[in-house]
Amino acid sequence: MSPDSDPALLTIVEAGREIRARRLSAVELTEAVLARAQWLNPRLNAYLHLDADGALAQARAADRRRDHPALLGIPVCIKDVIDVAGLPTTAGAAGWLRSSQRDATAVARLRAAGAVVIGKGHTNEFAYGIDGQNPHWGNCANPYDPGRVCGGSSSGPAVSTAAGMALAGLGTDTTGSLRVPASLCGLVGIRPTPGEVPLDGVVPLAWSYDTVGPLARCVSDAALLLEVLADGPQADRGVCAERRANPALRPDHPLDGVRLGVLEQLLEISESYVEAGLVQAAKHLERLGADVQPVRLELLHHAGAIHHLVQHAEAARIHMPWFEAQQPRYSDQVRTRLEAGRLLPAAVYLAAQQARRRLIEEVAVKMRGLDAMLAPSTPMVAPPQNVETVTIRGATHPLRAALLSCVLAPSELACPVLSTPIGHHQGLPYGMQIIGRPFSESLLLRIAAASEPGVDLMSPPLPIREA
Amino acid sequence: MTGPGSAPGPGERPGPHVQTTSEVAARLTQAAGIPAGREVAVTAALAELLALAASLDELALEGISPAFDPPRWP
Repeated sequence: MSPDSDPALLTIVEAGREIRARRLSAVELTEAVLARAQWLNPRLNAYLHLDADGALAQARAADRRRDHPALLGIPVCIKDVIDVAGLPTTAGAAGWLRSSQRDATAVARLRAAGAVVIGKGHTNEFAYGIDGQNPHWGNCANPYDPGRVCGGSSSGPAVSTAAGMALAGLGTDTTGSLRVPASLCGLVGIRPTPGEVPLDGVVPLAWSYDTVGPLARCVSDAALLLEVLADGPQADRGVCAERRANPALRPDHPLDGVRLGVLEQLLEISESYVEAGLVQAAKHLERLGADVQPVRLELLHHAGAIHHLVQHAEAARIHMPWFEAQQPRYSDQVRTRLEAGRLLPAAVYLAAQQARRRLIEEVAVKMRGLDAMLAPSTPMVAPPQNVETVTIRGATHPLRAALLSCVLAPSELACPVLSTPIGHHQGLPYGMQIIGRPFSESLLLRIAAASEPGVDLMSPPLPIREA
Repeated sequence: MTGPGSAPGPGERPGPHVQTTSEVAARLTQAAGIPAGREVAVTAALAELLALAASLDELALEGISPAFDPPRWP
């Protein structure tokens, strides 16, 4: 199988064009993706459950359709905290399982648009992690270097998309679980405005922050996926109409009048090569007409405290119904977080929610002079598997804290955040967050599309092709 | 939120003991009946959270709603 002619490596836009022209069938595309999954999954562990028979049946049905919906015949990987009818939802946990009778709404929308579900993707235990490592199901490996972490908790959808085991992924993002794997695997990931994509049929982690969103190989694919995912009653608000009215994403789209703020505090905690990559991306956007300026947030340093307090308390509450009986089945790490979260005084949780409002208010005021902010998605490229600490600018940090450091604060803001690749270092990709006002996804996609030609992106992971 | 108390200065009488976050965490962990073998890890994690909570004390939060549904942006 020649990589250059492998349909599993096409973008959604390219595959859709081939399918509509009848040069490629949904069955052929699904077979190509399944072949790569058979080949690569033992090495990368991106799928917890592959549904080859079900996928081929869906593909045959897609080939019989007379209409041409946006995702006709496109193979997708669904994170295993999201229900797919007929498949188990394990949440990456040990012994926790629900047999789904119906699709989550987000999955139903993908299927209605013609997508083919290949299987359920790897996740950190209960999505309560950021590195793609899982003591119960094994670690998910980075397709650019299987000895390195891929990021999580939407690890499986990210790795399957990057490695050609799906053309797109559906994941969740509570504290960066789409943006971190997008950054480390060279993908576009969108954390939509909370409420934009329905959460029913999704195992929750923390209701103040939970979102569902897409992972894709390019901005145009991400735009297509988001349009499908947000196409429902919950999406009929404000800027969603703008997205439908302005679907064209052109790489050379002028950005005249777009005001961008570079979030300096997050640059300062990132490796110098990440800082240089983001500055270069910002300069490219400036050349297209954007007004770029530095920005600082006075309350940013409180984001970590707010987030950990709210998330610990809410996760503990969510797990309460089964926690007593299931305690021994949790990993020590997650169990400890849930036990500590249960003991947090209510006043502490409420104070954290108040502080979150203060932070949002500060950002809202700051954003009156801006259309979006730019920040790194991760402070470095993918670190090796099984390390507990990483070094950034000469200082040692716990791995978890480092991976969360750039995505945590934007998760507080109840706004959309898009992560897009902006460069690579020693053969490993890293990304940039574009943070907008609530329901400004269309603008974020425009900015990301404009940034694509300015970035020297790597082709799909060569080590995988040569495996 | 409780935090570490400062030592009394010269000539000052020691005030009432202000519990540290570690002491508060230990008390809460013990009261909750966390199983033996888990106490140390849970107390440490809880103490860390309580220290984070103490760091929010510097914010003026009076009059701000604690509802988790975030405010609409202007």
